[in-house]
Amino acid sequence: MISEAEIISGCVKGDKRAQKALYDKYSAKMFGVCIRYFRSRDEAEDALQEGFIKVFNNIDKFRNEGSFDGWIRRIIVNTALNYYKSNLKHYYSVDYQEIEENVEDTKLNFDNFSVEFLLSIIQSLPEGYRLIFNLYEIEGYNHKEIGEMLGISINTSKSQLMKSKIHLQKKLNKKII
Amino acid sequence: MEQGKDMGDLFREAFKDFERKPSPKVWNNIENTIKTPLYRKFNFSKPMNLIIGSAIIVSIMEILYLVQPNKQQVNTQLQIKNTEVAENKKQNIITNEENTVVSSPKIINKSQKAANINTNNDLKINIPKENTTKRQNIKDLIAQADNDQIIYENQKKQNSANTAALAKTNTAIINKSNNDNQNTIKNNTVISKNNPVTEISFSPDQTICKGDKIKLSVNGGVSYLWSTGEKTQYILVNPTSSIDYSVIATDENGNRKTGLISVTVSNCNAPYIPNAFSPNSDGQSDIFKVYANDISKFEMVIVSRSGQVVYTSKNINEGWDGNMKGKQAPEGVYLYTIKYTNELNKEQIITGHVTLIR
Repeated sequence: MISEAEIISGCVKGDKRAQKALYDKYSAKMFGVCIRYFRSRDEAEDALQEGFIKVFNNIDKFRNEGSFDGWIRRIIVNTALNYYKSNLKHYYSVDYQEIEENVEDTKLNFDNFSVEFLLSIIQSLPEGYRLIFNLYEIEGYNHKEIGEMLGISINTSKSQLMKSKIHLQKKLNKKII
Repeated sequence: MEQGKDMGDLFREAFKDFERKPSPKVWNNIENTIKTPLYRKFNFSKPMNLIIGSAIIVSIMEILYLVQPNKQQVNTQLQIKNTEVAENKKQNIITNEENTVVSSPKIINKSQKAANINTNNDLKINIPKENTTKRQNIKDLIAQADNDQIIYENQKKQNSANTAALAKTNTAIINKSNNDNQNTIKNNTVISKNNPVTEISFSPDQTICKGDKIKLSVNGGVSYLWSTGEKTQYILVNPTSSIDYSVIATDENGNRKTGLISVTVSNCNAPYIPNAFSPNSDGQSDIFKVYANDISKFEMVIVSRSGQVVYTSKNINEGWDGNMKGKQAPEGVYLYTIKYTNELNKEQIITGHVTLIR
């Protein structure tokens, strides 16, 4: 078993075995990230592929400042976002839709839900909601960071997150009933 | 928002260690795309590598320098060969002269001259000045010529022996230099294998609606030639029917990669949305509705200018009759948002305004 540091330095030198080891170690985890951003597996695989190519091409720029896991995840997430870049402004241009919606107050028993189901409802979200929900709730970025990543205002990010939650809540409620 | 917080936690927990295995083709594609650039192998910021790097450059230059003299040697050998041929020719002339029993001293002089040139003045021939018409003299001359011939022949043999020896040495040298050349070539091949083959990738195949424009691009490379004749990194196309675009991309080392991007043009029908309607029960434009084919997940929200929702519908066949909570809505401009999924399964959002006229 080679250590992560050895894998990374191997990749910097362009060692094929190290590259494969890196891929084997992180691909499943990163595909788990990618797939939350896309409805189809094919799109997610495209993004994963592109993301990993970026990782290998830029691995010499990795400075051991944070965790390697975090570094690679950031690249994967940014690559996934790039797929949406050209359409982003359309996703967040409509702010007055669903004005009358309210968050329902039912307490849910969350233990009933499988990851597969949760994944399916994330994937069913409209793109704009899906991106913000993933970035804020799962990746843990704050609204300021999301605003910068997507080129939207902090308030848009906040309101879209709310709306995405309303969407999810509805789906979760439906499942319970 | 206690509820929302719970939901975030639920998802975060669920996806914390979530893994999913991608299909093997992903790695294959990655493996084919990533190449190890030379500059990474030889990081010139490290002093040791700098030394190795410069050593390589110096040795390449040396090899190049060595190749030059070898070329000259080849030339020399060619010259020697040519001289030999010339000598043979001259010999023929002399032989011919002998056979025909030369009667003219001029010719003998000529042949003598030739012999002199070729044998570096080693031949001792008495050049007859007078009485050249006398038969005896001629006889003598012929005898002399015979003699010359023998001397010449010997000389020639010696010459050719020398030539052979020289040639042998040259061949040896040339063989050696050939080896050097091969080494050089071998070295070059090794180097070019390590040359940074910049990753070049192309836009994936695209499906667009008729009338839409699409940007096709190449990632990486320095020069491009598209099948459209354009030489830019990106091209903007709006084909009216499905078509394949090809592009040849060249990176800084002259490596070429050809890409084929298929653009499928689908006959998406853009929905027709009227910009005014008059709900006065005259049978004309009484209802504001959207006309479209091949769309799904239709959703329409109409709001007044003050932001009040006046109408919502999820059925494309229904429309707004201009009433709001049982009362007639006032004349004016209303805003709509229409959301639908088109036949390419892409979600579309159209916003606009419609004027209500009574």
